[in-house]
Amino acid sequence: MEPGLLQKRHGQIGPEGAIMPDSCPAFLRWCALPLAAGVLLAACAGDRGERAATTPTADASATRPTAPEAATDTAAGDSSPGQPQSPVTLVQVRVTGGQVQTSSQRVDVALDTTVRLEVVADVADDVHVHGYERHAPVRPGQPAVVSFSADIPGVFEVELEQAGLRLVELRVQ
Amino acid sequence: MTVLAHGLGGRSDLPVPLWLALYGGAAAVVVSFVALGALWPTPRLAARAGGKVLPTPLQRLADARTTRAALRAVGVAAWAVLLGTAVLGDQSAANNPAATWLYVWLWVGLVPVSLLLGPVWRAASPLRTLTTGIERLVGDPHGLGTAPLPPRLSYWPAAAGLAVFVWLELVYPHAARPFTVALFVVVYTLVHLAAAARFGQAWYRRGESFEVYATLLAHLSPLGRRPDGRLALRNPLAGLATIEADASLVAVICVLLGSTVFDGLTRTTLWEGLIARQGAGALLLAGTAGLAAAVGLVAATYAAATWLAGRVTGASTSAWPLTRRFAHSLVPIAVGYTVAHYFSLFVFQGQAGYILASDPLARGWDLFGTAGWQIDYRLVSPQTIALVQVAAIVLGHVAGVVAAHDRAVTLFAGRDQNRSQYPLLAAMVAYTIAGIALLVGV
Repeated sequence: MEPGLLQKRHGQIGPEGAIMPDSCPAFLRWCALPLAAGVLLAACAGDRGERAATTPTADASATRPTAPEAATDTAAGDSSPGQPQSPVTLVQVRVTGGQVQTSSQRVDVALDTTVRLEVVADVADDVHVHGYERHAPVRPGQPAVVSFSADIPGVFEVELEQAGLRLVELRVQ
Repeated sequence: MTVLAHGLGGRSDLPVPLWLALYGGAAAVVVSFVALGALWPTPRLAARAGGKVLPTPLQRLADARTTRAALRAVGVAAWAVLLGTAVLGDQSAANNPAATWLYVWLWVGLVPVSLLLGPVWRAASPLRTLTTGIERLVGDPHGLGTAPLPPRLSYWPAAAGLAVFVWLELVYPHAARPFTVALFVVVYTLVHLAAAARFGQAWYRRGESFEVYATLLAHLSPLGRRPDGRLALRNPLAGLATIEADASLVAVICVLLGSTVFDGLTRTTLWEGLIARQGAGALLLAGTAGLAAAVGLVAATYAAATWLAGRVTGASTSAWPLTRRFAHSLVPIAVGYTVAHYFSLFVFQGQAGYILASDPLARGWDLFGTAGWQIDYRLVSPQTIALVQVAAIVLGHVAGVVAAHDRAVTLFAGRDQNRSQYPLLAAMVAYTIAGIALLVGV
């Protein structure tokens, strides 16, 4: 792009010297309004933030430090048990008659920690963790257990693949 | 079925950080009020529509028969490969690239291509090429394609087509199935070939949804054509001001804007709570109603704002022409929403388009050596995504406000210049705050 054109464009978007003297007082007067609106917006958004912040406590899925028994947890899954310090987020889901029972529909997981997902179902199906592409078969009486390191940030759906049933959503950040 | 946005993709976005949203929202509000007081008092955009003529070699390249033929060949080839893959390929959405090609590469890809290069879709449209081919084959013995297009049809067919497409993409639970993609492509092609057989190529300019969408976006491209056909580099906002909207084009814009609002809405915990544990029928019904409500809400807000603008100025006997005169200012807002909602899908799910392309028919091929690849979800960080999302919405808002301001000073004099803008500005600020609120995740 040529410099001439760039200047011309700037001239349009930003006010040029000739216009400024008349409009400046008007502009200053308007400054009070956006400030008020900004404060209002901050108030509304702050409210939302607080509500969002309360969700993890309402969440019954426990984040616990890796105690001795947790070593068997990770060993049961396909994740390497080489990081005993990493906290484990346990997510338990029960499916009965097409109904999903979880402590929370959306579970917050800290980045680079371990997730242990346990799914008990009364049907034979596949548990699929989207994004991480983890699959595990589940059958009546044989729960699916998936352990993995949550190292991709984002929101990921866990689904009962054939039934197309959403089990839970993992929010990794 | 998965409830993921767009029926595609393994990862959704994290909520935008609150501080970023606050800055974005405040910036939008401040800019809006600056626009009222401090921007130019006389129209400036119309005078700049000509821009700066591009050098002759570039003109020749763009208009060369070879370039045009190549674009048409690429269009038809892509159409054939898409249809072939959807019909003959593996019928599981996870192994077939057809859905990614249609919903991500074509639908989302149209946006950057049209914004940067102009109305490329019109030149590459496989439907136009197929119609040309049919006309040549038939040799026009029955006056094929000569019926005049009824003016009252206007852009309504395109608006209806877009509504169907966004419903398919955002509401229909089996959107990603290769069978759905194949069915859509076949029905869409047949409908438009039939209409073009009656009305000729003129049909596509107003009737074909993708072309109307791409052309609308192309008005915001820095590349434009002068009335004499020469290519010029221009102020994108000057191109935007050349949009001549009627009620049906307003409907097209409202469908686009409403669909991204709905897409944002479906990602909120509020919506998830609403549809949680519902049956498939109820989900379909809720989705359809939600999409219709989002489009209706956008349209109603805009219509009310322009109606009010007409009332406070008292300049026009009927307020409705204002609805048409300001419609172009909604386009950059719709583009901002679109970028905000599709950016990460394009970056992440877009990769599946070339990963799966190596083995489109699930025969164990590895045509491009990409078959073993995985989607790299670390390509763009959540921080970058959040920044792009907020920046897109705020920039779209700014461009919309500037476009509306320029139109207001064109249409009105004295006090009415500012007074006419209050209602529309309020509507735009509402859109922007709503857009950012949806990104924060209610």
